[in-house]
Amino acid sequence: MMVPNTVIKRRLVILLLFSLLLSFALMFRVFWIQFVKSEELREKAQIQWTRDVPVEPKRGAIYDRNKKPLAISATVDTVMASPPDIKDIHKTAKLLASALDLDENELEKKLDDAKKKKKAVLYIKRKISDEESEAVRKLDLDGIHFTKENKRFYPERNLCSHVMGFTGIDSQGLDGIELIYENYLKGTPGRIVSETDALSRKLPFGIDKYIPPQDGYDLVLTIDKVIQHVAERELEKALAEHSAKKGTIIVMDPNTGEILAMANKPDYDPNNFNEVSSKLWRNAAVSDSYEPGSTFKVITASAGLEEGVVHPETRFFDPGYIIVSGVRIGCWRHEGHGSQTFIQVVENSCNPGFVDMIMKLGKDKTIKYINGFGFGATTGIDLPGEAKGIFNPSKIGPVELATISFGQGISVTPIQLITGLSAVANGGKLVKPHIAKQIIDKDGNVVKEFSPEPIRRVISEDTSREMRAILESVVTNGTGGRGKIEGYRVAGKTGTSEKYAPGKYVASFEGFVPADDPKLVALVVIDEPVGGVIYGGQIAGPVFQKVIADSLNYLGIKPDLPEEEKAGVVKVPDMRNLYIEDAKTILSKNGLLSRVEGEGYVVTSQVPAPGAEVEKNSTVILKVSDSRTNKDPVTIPDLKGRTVKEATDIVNAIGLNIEIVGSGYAVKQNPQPNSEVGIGTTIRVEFASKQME
Amino acid sequence: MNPKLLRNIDYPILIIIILITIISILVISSATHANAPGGDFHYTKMQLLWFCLGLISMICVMMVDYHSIVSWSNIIYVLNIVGLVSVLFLGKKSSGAQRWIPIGPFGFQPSEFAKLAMIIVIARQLDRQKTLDNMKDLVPILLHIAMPLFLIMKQPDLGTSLVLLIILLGMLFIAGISYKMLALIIGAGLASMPLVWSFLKDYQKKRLLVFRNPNLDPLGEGYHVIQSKIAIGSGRLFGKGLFMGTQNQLDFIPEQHTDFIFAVLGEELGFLGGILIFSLYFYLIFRCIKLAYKARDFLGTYIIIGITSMWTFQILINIGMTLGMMPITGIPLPFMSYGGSSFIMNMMAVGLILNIGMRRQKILF
Repeated sequence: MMVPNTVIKRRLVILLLFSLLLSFALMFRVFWIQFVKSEELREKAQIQWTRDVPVEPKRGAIYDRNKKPLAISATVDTVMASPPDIKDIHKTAKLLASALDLDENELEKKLDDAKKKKKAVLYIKRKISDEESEAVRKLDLDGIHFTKENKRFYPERNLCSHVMGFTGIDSQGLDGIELIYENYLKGTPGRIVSETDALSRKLPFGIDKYIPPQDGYDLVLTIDKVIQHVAERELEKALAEHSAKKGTIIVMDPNTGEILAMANKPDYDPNNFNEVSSKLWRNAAVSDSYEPGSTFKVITASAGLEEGVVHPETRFFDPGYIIVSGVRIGCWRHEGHGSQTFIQVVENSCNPGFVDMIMKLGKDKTIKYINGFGFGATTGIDLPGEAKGIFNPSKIGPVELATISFGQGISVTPIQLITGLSAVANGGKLVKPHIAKQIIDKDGNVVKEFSPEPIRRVISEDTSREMRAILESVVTNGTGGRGKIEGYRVAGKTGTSEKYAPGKYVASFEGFVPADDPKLVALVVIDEPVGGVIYGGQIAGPVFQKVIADSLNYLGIKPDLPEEEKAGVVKVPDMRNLYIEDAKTILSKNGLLSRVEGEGYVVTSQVPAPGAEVEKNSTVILKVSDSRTNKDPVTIPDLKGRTVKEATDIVNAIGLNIEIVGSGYAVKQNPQPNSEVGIGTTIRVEFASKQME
Repeated sequence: MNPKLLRNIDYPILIIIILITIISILVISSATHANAPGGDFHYTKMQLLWFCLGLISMICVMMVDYHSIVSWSNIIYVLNIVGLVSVLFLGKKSSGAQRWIPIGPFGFQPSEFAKLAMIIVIARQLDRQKTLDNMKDLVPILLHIAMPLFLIMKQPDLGTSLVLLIILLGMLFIAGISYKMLALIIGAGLASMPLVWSFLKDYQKKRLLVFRNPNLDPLGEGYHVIQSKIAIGSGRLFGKGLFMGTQNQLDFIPEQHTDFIFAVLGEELGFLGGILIFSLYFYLIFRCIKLAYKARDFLGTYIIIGITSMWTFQILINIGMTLGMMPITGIPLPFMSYGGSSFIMNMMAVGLILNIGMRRQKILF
């Protein structure tokens, strides 16, 4: 070929320069990656060869005010896989599926995918039972290991469920107090960092770093488990008795705003919250509003007294109705109450009297007090989902004003009403209700204390005193008679409101004791009782009476009347683990009365506690149950002299097993009486035919 | 052989090749965890064996005057076609392509040798060609290359096909093709891209798409590039030291002893290692072009430039790929990547270059 030599030589030089250029381009690129972007890339490298496994912190426990556990976290096993370490996926999936009751094909697919994607860790099944854990451990599979996770247990089951709420699979609070105090309860997760290769296999000599988790703080509630229990028990009874749809009880300390009990029925077991309709999770005490009816008169009466438009002795005349702007508003007593003082108007719950009063008070003042007592706004209680109720001042005309005087045309939540009543009872201060008392750490040190939060003064001390007296006479002389508790000064008010659906009612009772120096305030709301009686006084009154009577007894609040009956003081004997008939005999010998609660043969607990000093003829509550649900250790009863049947009943009732040797009457037992053992322990009892002592 | 010829051997090229091979063997040892507990030096030993076989092949090639070799072009061409056809029937499938003929425990890769064969065939054709002034003059050359190109694309081995085209382009350039025609050829190539695209297999298309954006498939195709960049980037100036690279030792780098050998080098020997290897390669190319410059005849120049184009392009594509500048193709890095066929072929190419170099002067008796 005829190419001039100069051309070829020039082109060779061009080629050389071209390759030089390429070399520089590549070198620059290497420089760029190794120096400019190297920090970023080095980090990426590090992330890759370390495997990070989170370690769940232990969620803090929740206690009642006496540190009795309401929610605890127990450590349970979670099965995890590191797919790259699994040798035989098919076999592993098959064995695991049968041990953990999982779908085999699904599991195999999951493991296969994870292995292909080089996933370092994979949950197989979380929070498994001890039996499942045992079964998997026996299999001893490669690439399958365990991690500890926390499972939430609510040892009291349904008790207080609406306050407690519940937690999800990641131990995160989902409802109730678990949700509100999530940040304190949850703790900080720790980590296990280990070095891995490209397939996420753990390196044999890789560095393992363990950063321990920080456990969550414990929470102490203002709830008192015993009062809560009493409230739930009485509420359940009342619902059953009156075939009512639902009900709510709140017991509170009017001076501090501490909630002692908050019960709604029906409820659910937070251990299995998923198994019930989510409608049952609703905490009606704070989330549901209703027309309060006559219980609201406490509020309007306080406003009238405070503004001086009435005083206790102001006289009213009730012909059985009152006309407001041409609308006739009748009294519940058709023939009317005639001439009466304001005290009697409240005692009789006379609607025309209240209309009369509120007309004198006027719209603006009424609104001021209703808002002042906290209606139309949330109370700010530390529970989720609080409702504001319905109170719309702009829509109030004369007729609406008139009906509001006796609690119609306004909607309130139970928590609003009891907070308002507390202000009436405690001397006039509106105090924010609260349910958390303390946050404590593992050593019991107080991290945060929730002290009472007064919001504002609504009425004066004098008005409060007058109201206490008036409400006491409602119980002694008026419609609130069923709320009476022997020996105590009780103040209260009934309420019966018709719902918009005709024939459906809400029966309620609110009150406080002692009337002169209130320690407890309570509200009982029974929704849609069925049957002849629908009046709040008759349905909710007795519930209030029983709850408060037991609570007073339990709290050791001494009756203040009548003083002359202080005949003698008796020590309450220990009757726990005694056969019920024996316990009754011992009590009557000591001059005490007894009341039995629950079903079973053996006393599991008593109120008041053993050793407490009470007046003669006080009632001691004996709780009996078949204690299978009780997780506490039990004290072994003395079985000496029992027949085989009696001994078996006693031992079984408190959750123990019996081994019977011989027949006749018990002469010997092992373990000895009064030692403490766990549920399910077998007690060996020797029997012999009756012999001389 | 005439001792005068021995004196004319371009020793710098020989030394460069030996240096690169030493680096290669060290890095391959590291990449195959030869010193890890339970590891063996299988690949290291094999690469040493290839080096020895390569040296022998090189010497054989050097002994015969390149004019004689070129005169066997027809036989070389036929053998080449036979090899490429047999790979289609006897070839072993690996990752979607058929490139290997298993011979005992080894794999023989005819497409590697095809490159060298075609350099010889094209050089002869260019040398015979009287003119290279218009497109018609290109037809005989294109006819020569069409068959092997088709067979290689059939495997499919897009990378090697591209290398062949680049070799052709480089040789045409040196043969004095006019810039106008060069532009036309390149333009035609670019214009046929959409057509080529439609013939591509899905995995090939995916590779090209992922090259545009590695994060499209960070655990699949993009994984290689991302991992490679991470490894090189974490090496910095001095590297983590031979056998110390975490990304290499923990198998994050894919194909670490073959296609991605440069990533291991970048991680363990750092920027300095990179500079060293770039310098060696550049010096090699420089020496080759110098020999091309001094060659006795055009035939020698064409052959040397064919080989130089091949190496330059392979270096650019392979290293560019590990740096995320080029799409992923299975093109080995000359003298560095593990592999018998490619190593022996490259040594034969060296032999050919030295052959031309030492016969640059008319021998005077």
